[in-house]
Amino acid sequence: MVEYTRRAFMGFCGAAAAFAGFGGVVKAFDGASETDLLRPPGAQDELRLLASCVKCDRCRSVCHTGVIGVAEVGDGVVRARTPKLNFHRGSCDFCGDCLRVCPTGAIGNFDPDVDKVGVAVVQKDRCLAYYQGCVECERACPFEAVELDDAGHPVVNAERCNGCGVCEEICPALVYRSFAGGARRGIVVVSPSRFAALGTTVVENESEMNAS
Amino acid sequence: MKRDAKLLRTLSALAVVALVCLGLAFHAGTGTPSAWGIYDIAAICPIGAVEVALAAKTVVPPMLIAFAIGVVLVLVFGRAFCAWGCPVPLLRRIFGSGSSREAAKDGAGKRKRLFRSSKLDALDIPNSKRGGAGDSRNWVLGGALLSTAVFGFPVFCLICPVGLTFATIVALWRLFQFNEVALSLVVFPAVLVLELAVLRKWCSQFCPLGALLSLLSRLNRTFRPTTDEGACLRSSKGEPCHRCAEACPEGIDLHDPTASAPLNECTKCHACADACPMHAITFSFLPKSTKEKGASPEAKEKDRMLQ
Repeated sequence: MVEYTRRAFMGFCGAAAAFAGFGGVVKAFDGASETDLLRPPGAQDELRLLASCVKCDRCRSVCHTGVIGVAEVGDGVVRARTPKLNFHRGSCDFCGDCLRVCPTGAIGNFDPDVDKVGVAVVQKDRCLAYYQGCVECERACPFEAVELDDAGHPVVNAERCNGCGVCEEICPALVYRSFAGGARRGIVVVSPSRFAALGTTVVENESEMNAS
Repeated sequence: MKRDAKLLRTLSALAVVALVCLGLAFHAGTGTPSAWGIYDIAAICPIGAVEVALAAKTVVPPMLIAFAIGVVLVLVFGRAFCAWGCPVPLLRRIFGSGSSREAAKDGAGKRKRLFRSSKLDALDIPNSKRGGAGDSRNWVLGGALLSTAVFGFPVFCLICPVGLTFATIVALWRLFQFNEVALSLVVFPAVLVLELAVLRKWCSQFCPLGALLSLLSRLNRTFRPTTDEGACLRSSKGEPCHRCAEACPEGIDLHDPTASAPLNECTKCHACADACPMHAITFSFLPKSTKEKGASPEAKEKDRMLQ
């Protein structure tokens, strides 16, 4: 019995050390509380999401617009399999289904008038309004957060915008003009932390959009 | 008792995969075995729930309900998930990296080793000690929960073979549906192979989910294997028949409590019932009552016939 108790203690220490090493490395490289990933409405508290998400896939599966996708290993080891929004597949109408099916509270309550999934940002070198005139996003925005300035360029009202993504989904920029230069569009919803870093809803180009 | 439980187990595990795929195809929101349900009602993986509670340091009512449903399922069916729902035995069967049954027997030291001994054999323990403090699965469980509490996210979920199997299916699904090429498609299967091929005795030596199910199954009294003593060659005729004990992947010997693993380790796989030449082993919902009503007169009758 003594032998087993000592063996058990050593074994437990070994297992704990292995998990501590693994968890520590993952946490150190990848445990940031801020992310550029767009999360489902009510899942903006990144640390709470990382703590609570069991990667069950229910929110992604239940989403009727298909906007909820799945983060992959390239988004970070600890973030792999967590839900992320992709506005090329749909946009959010705040139906609340993802909140309803989440069994762990990783997705919380969300008020579309107050809370933000993210903020839409216009990228000048992609936006068609800067070349030939386009009013798609202004017409589509359900929250009247996109206005046109005197030159006919869309301007996002960051106060009103809650990041629903309808503008990005409907934006025809890369769909009609070019397939080169990646998957970005003329108007792109960025995460709240990315918006805080940008401080503006209009950027010149991709590098300004991604500047850290 | 039909003798094709092995086929039924394979079909059952495939049915779990098929149900997940149905949920994927119809956007039903039913989920994966990590948490599975309809709308507000779900059963959550017990180790996932405990990890979340430790990491988030809060428990929301839906999770409490989902956890309670999961626990009730374990109380009724014991470790049946291990044999009937878990994709790991299925993967082993498909890719043939040595069945978990052989691995477990190997671990119990009851049979010739099928593979060359590895350093990990040091983790082998006598069957009777299974589920105790000397069981390496419990160390893994403890280490996983401790690190989860320290780092604030479910650490084991990142490498859980069940989760990774279904994550791979979801990633494949999205590859075909949206052309989404992801690093996950390489990393998830690689981790799976690492766990199941290198840690060959994953189920019997490492799996913390199995360890937690064993702990919860201590309260399980239903669907336990029971022997019709009148029919059993060993108890009725004294013949040295050990087929049920040899067949058991968990090291349970229904006739020798001192050498047997505790009965809460039973995964209800029915291998013992299939192996018994006299069909003497049954898995009834409540063994005692059925014995009093049915088996006892039957046993008497068999005794009479034998005389």
